[in-house]
Amino acid sequence: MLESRADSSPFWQPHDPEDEHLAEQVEHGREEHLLLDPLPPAENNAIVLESMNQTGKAFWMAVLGLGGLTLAFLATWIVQIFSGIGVTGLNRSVMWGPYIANLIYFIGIGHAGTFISAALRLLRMDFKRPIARAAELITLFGLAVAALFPIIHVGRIWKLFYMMPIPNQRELWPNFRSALFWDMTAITTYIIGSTLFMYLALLPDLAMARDHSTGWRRKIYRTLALGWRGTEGEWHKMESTSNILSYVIIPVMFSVHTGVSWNLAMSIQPGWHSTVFGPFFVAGALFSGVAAVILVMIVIRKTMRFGYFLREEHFNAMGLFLLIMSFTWIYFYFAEWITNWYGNLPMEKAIQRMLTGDLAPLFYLMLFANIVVPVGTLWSRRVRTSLPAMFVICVFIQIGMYIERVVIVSGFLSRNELPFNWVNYTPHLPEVLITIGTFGFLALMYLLATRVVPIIPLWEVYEGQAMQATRRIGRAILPTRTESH
Amino acid sequence: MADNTTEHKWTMIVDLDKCTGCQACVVACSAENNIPTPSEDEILRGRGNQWIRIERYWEGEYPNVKARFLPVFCQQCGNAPCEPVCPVYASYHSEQENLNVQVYNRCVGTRYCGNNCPYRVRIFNYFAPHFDEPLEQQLNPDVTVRGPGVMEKCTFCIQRIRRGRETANAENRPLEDGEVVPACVQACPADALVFGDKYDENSRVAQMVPNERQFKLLEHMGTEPAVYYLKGGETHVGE
Amino acid sequence: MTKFMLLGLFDNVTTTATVVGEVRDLGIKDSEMEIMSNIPYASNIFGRKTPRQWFLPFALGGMAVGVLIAFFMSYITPRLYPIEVGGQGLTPVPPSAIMYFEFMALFTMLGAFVGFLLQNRFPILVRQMYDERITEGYIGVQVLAPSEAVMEQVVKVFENHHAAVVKREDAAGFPNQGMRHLLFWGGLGAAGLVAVLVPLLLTYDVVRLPWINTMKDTVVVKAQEGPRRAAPPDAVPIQGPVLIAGQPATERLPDTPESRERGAALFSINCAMCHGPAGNGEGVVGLKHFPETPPLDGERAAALSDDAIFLVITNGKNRMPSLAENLSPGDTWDIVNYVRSLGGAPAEAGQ
Repeated sequence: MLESRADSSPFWQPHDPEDEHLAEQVEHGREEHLLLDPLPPAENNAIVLESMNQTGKAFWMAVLGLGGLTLAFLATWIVQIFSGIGVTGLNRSVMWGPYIANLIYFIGIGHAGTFISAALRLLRMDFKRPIARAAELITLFGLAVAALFPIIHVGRIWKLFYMMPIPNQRELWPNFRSALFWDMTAITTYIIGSTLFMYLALLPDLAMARDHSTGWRRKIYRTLALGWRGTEGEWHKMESTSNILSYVIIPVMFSVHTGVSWNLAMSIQPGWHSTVFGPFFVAGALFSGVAAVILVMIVIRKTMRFGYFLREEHFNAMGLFLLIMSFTWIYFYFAEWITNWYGNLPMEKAIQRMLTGDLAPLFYLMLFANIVVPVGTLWSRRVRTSLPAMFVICVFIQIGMYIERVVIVSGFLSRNELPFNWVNYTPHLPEVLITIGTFGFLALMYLLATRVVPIIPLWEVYEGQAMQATRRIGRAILPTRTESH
Repeated sequence: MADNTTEHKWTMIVDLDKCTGCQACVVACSAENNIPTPSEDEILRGRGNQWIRIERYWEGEYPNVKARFLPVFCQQCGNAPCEPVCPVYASYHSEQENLNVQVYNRCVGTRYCGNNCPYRVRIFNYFAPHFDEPLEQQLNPDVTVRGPGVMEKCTFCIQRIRRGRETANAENRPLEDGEVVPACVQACPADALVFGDKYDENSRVAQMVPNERQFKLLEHMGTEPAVYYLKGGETHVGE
Repeated sequence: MTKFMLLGLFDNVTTTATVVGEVRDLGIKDSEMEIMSNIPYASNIFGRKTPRQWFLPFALGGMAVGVLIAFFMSYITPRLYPIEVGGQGLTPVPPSAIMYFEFMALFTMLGAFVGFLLQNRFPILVRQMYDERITEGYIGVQVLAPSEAVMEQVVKVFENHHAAVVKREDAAGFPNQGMRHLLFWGGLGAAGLVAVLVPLLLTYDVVRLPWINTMKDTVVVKAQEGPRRAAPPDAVPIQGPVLIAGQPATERLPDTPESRERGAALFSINCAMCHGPAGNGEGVVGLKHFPETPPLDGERAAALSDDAIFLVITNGKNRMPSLAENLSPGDTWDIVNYVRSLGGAPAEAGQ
């Protein structure tokens, strides 16, 4: 029996010590740490369920705005299908542009979700408890939007089924030697794996929503909850399956963005043909992904009034994570730059000249946003726990990482071996509209999802709260953590 | 002797000493292969769609400036970087003709091959082709008019190669040297382009290949092109 | 004897553990008790053994399926239709390794998930003993009592420990899943099979969709496609005669027996299949046409002028294609002469 739980009180009614000094410490711990501050689950359930029903004016304004962006994206896409890819700014030398950069970017921001829910789960990091589902939803929707881009950028959408490995009367199968096919398999694997993983962890919360809602919502939740009751067997099997999926999805996560980067690295285009692209892109993905998760955390904390769930400790931990990822990204980028610079090979020199010449404003903005901003600020706990500061920092990082992708994809392509074919790329209206529109589409899907799916994984929070306690050591009250399995 | 299994190694020799940069080959190729004429706007946007183009490089400082002409077209690489990257096998290697073949109706338009070509000879149809009346009557019925979203490139006039093979087969004799003439070779007034089967020892190309002026474009990349360039005289490279 | 299903809710772990011990003392086996909660608790907290599960077969089974699919993609498909691409062999190792990795990962995850659903008997389509307060933090102890007497004892245990809720019902109200579950998965499987097989009808062209095929029908004037159009007024011919609309391309060749002989030979190659060897419209292909292929030995043909016959052969008419590709103008005049002979016109003297 647990020493500190020898009394018969529910985990949400811990006993406070009588000593005033000690009680103060407990109070302080309760403010700081979510897991030391349990509330009756009925109350917490109500907070989350209420936030899901919150469809006031601001919500509908947001839906309208984002819906408008989505419509702009769809309309531009349809025009592009009928007019031809020529409406974009692509040319004979630069055949890949922002569409591919968007593909890379959206897959990238999805990586943090898997890392947080799978890797941090295996590492038993408790700070991930309230964040996991919000992060996973970014992964899911980011992947869904990213999967649109190969369709958008392709010349003949109506023949895209040629790329699918289905038996057909032509007796032709796709070319598994092509990096684009590896991409397809990897993204499919990742999206299915992420959905299954999220669904597993969602089951207990769907059961909670089923139990406390009415009408059409109750019907949906009842179907989706599959009859979950929370029996020992169900929990045990859910944990085992989550374990298996965690172990498998972490290498898949690495392989997805590596695969996407190999679209570039497998070619012989100078600047692209680099062995470091795999790890470089994964580091960049985690970097931008963690920043995206922090942005979403800030937004939902404010708009859905989750101040109870998302506290300074979480932003502090994520800020530290972001700082570490920024170091990793800087390391890889420097490694790439210095090898190219030192080797002095003509084509790579030409590309570096372009970066510091024609593309200098973008290049230096990227360096500022990805190096100066995080490293210069995130070392301070005050900054990490200040939400406005983190918002600005994360927006800068998104801008910086986006520029990095676009420069690598369409910038590098304009420099190839025969200088007669050097043509600079300038984006045209369709690329801009579709890019902004897909951001809007992603935000719209996310917004609607927050009203349908409980965005805080409540059972994980309760589990953390039940397993954490305080323990008196000498004159101090310190948090302790129990290993429950 | 004539059968459908004879393997050819179609080779083109470009004598840079003779090339005057007159662009007759460009016009002939566009006429033969149903290539629509792009507008000036499109050219300025970098969307020139000629399968063969004369690359012009300036050498030296004014007033000792020289223009060097380099006709560049698909090099029909033996180790083509455009082939393994196509996810639908629209670009593959014909082992009988030893040519890099582009299948228009299989092409989905991912444009990976275009990025991977170091010579940038692959053309993408960004728009549907448009031919002003009555120029559509001039189109070659032997060559597909490519729709939008499809990659294309120089084929060494494979339609003429096929016709030559079929004629030779029908007449039960082997293909003779000089029987198959691509449009650019046919049009070149300076005889700078020579085309033939390198596997035929008696052909003109086979005899011209061992030339001390001979080089291949971007040879260091390992693409094994089937096109030999003969260095022009009076080049100041290396000085 | 009727069995009874009971449910007691308690708000903390310690009490629940005590209750479980006391219920076990009443003779209820572990397998007839269930503990339900909104947080995962380790089984030994309640003094119970961890429930059995076996995921290995599912995960490994999935992995095996993945390996098979990857083997198919990387080894079999290149050999079904070998296509040579730039310098790589048919089954190069590095891309194959990627295939194996991805497909193994995908199907391992799917296998584990299917194992999860099957072992939990999800989705549960029958009524279950449950209370909504379980998701508010209460721990539920579900007991299957074999008789009414035991049921009363269990209820007493529950009430002794201040259960927040006590439910009791005839166990018959909670049937086993049994057939329903099988039917569900069977139905799902069948639906899945149909969903997989129906697109095959499309991919094997059994059901033809009018796919957009932009390149089959183009502006190009194809071979044998009529009508043969005249060149614009200022066009300069490179070779051959100038074709002017409505006029034959050359002067008529004289109607000599030699010309007719040549015409006969050409007729048998180019025209006989439709118009018949005897020119009466009963050729092998001609019989299948509707409307009928016109005969050439009758009055209609005799009424046509030579120029008209020449133009029909050159330009085509209705279903008849233009034969200008196959026949030079001289050949065409030979056939015109031969056709005249069919109608009975006498030949001119040889020259």
